[in-house]
Amino acid sequence: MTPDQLLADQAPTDAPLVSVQNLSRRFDVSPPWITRALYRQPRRIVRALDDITFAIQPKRTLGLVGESGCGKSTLARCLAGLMSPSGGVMHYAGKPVDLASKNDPKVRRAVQMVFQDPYASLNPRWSVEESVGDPLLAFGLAGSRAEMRQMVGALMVEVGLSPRDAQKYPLQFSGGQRQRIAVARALASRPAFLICDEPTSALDVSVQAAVLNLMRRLQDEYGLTYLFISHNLPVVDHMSDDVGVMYLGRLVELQPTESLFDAPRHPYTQLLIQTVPSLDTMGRASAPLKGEVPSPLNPPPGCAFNPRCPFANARCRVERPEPTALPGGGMVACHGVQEGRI
Amino acid sequence: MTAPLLDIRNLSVSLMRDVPLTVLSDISLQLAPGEILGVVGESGAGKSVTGAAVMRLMTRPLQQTGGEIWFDGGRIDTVPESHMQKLRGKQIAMIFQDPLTALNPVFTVGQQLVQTIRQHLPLDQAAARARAAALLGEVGIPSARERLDNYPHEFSGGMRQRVVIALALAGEPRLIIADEPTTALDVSIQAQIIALLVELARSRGMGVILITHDMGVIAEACDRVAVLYAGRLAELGPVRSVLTAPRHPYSRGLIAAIPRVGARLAMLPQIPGTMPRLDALPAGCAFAPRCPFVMEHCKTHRPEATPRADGVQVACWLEEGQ
Repeated sequence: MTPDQLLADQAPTDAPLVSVQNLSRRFDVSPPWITRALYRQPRRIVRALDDITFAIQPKRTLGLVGESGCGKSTLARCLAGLMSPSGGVMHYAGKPVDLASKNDPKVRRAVQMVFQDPYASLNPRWSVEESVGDPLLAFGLAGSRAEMRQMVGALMVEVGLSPRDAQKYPLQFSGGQRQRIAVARALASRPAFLICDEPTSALDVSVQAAVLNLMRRLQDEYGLTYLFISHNLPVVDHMSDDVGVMYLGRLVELQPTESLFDAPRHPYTQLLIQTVPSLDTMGRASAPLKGEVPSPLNPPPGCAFNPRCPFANARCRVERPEPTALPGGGMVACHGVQEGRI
Repeated sequence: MTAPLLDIRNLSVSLMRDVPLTVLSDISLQLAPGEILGVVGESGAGKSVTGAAVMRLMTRPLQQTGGEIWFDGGRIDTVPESHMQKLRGKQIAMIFQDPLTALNPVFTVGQQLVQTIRQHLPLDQAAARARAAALLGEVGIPSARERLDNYPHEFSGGMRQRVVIALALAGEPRLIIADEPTTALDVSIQAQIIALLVELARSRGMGVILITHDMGVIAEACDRVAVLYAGRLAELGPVRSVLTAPRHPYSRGLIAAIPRVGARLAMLPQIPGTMPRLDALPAGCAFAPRCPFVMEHCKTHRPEATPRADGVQVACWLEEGQ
């Protein structure tokens, strides 16, 4: 059974497989109440995700870029059901779901995740067979241990390892091989939607190419839909059909990959693309983007990017820009673009 | 070329076990004052060991087993440790990858800077503090004087790395070894730190060895680049030549495997196989088992990285016309 068949009765193919509307996630990082009472400190709330809306079509890849602390990983964890959003809804195959509530085992099985650090995401005391086979047993996909063993072997071959490797422990593998094992584990429950949070950031360039090629091939083979998170713009460009740019918990731009890289609209996207070190910017250290990402604890009022934005005006400092649709598809949240200044 | 600031001649380093394991084999590199030399390679290729060998920061069982290291006209790999301590931090400074572990969390940035400055320069407390503030200003930290009294945790990642660079500059070194200085930082902050390093190298005439696995960083910052593979020098030459017209099959494969914005390839070219374990290196060229151009000669004879007519060094039999 392919993931397609699993979902065939649930959604027509042109409807989005995954969509989120006004997704928010707040973290309460207040000091303990006794400290607040004694020192009269207020509650402190971080808005890690603020009103995120997007949709992903089946078999497509949405790339997500942004700097540390912009909420990329929080978004991944909300979608994977590893934490509950504070507000907003997620739709999977047309139905509203709350994966963190464990009420949707069928959807939980169809949504899997690959994490950044293959040294931390595999249990060192479990053999590869135990790690990869666990979802098979948990979802009842394998009837017996023998069947499970056979399916794990097939998965290992699928990701470019040998069935004999299943008896080994994570310690015995290199970083690239571990990430292949993590991919095999994610594939074990035959998912339709794979959330990849910086899957190659911990890998060397030559190993990265092999893992990215593997992910591409698996996508074609199994008709997978990807949410691909990375801070590496060339990697996102290579992997994605559409790209979203996040800044301080907000989605500031979302466009088809080519238009985003050829004609970025949001000033943050423009500066991000200019500053990425590349082989073609040889000999000139590109004019770096001034300033730093503000603390999410204390975001600036108005547009969160206004302190670093060369085009910011009075309106940008007080009024928060809402997403506006772009003619070629996608959206941007910027007063300057709206007013035709940028 | 002016007299080299740093001259590494045929350096070899081994991991001394029952059977010594060669981790760096016959590496020769020169660095001129004000020059930025990039060192790239995969994990385990010997990048960091090269830096540690120059600083003599290798601990047992790592040991230099051959070659010479010359700094500013004097040989430094054989001088006593007491002499090396005067060079380390003063003449040759190092910047590490993770700025949080490179700083002591229980002292303010000012205390750490003042201590380092007074270690190397004959200044009193007040003068050292003024110098510390000037250094923080030079590395681009706003309101430097006030920030002296902050602790490392009160700085962001990028600002912390600036503090680490200020600490490295405290002894007014002539050579800085930067080991993955931007790997832990965000893209936009990374660009700022690279620009800072380039500017400091130019304005102070400092030599910089920039160890990184990021070819983009190499392209932006470096004058020349050395590509290491399995503890050996594969290719060394001007950045433009190595990045746009790599000659060693490994450099070619490595550069082709880097995704580029706008390339829109279906699949990335990848080098088949993986880097061999250092205890199972093939007899001839270390890259031979993965090389698409491998010849019989490569399997038995190790190529030397001899300088070619155009100044590029390539350790490959293809260059020899074999």
